[in-house]
Amino acid sequence: MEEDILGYFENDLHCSTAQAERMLNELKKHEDIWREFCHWFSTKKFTDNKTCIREKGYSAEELFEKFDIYEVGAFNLLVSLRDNSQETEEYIKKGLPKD
Amino acid sequence: MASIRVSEEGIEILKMALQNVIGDYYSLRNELEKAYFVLGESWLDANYLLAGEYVTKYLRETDNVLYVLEHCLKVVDDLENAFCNYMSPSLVTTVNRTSSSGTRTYYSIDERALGPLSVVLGNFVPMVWSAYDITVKRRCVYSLLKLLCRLLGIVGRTEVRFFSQDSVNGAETLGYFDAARNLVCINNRHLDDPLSIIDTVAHEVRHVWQKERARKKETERDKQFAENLTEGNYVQYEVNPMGYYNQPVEKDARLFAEAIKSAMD
Repeated sequence: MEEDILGYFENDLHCSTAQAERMLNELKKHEDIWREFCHWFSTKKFTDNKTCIREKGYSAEELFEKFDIYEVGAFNLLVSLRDNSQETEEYIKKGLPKD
Repeated sequence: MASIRVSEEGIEILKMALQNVIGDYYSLRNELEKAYFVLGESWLDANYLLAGEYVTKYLRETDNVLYVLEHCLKVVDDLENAFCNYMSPSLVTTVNRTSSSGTRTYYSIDERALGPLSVVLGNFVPMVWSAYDITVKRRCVYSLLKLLCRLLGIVGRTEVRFFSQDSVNGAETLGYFDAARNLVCINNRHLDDPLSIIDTVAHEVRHVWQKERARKKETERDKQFAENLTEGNYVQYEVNPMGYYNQPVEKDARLFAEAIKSAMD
């Protein structure tokens, strides 16, 4: 599964090998987020609203629906909300502007 | 030899004054030509022919004045370039401020750049900006871009392009840098917001500067930029929004834009 995910990062998202590995390791740091990401990667569906992970009130699916980001971007945002909640929340509250 | 004091602010003011006078003289010239054709009823009328002689004479004199003024403008342009090369301010210095909530990094604008910046940024004061039509607003954007390019010592030719794009899923695209063509692209939809225009222009021009510094690799920061801009290393917004926000080139551009905006205060 990890090889497939790395291949997705490198080939579909055009990340360098180093960046792809970094993203993979960041996601894997949090077992629950990683599990939900793998579920999405395998089924291309987000976890049910009732059982999904919420960080500061946000689920991956809600973040994906609300902002112009990819699914993996939504999971990376969950990781950021957990690791760096203040700065990430501020950025989200500003509307996640893209300069 | 007597010494003279020159400031970049003075040069900028002189340039604007010359450009305004040249613009006025071109208008005067057009009015003179139009007046001649409105005056007469008959080509054979003696008074009309006499008026024509006077108009021709004044047109010639206006052309002479225009030639001198345009030459003066060229001299001031050359002086400005020489001045910028001599002064070569670093434009921003990094300031770290520690408070109870942690350490924040700011950029502080070099004092020598504040003068010319304040002249150009004066156009972006909301009350002044709101009186301008779109042509003047675009010209002000162009002036700001050119000034920032000069102050940053950007060598490559950089131009501005305007486009129109509405928000997508609530996300606005204020502008972007087309690295392949060295174009700073500004969204027309935001031309009514002068502060966001300053932010966007400064941010995107900083990307132009980063691209040149990444090629030079003279400092540690240059090497950071080069690493970040290597194919595959730039973190796309859609893939990792916080990764995008905090990567070196975006963080640097954001801090730079904040510093330029603060020069308005």
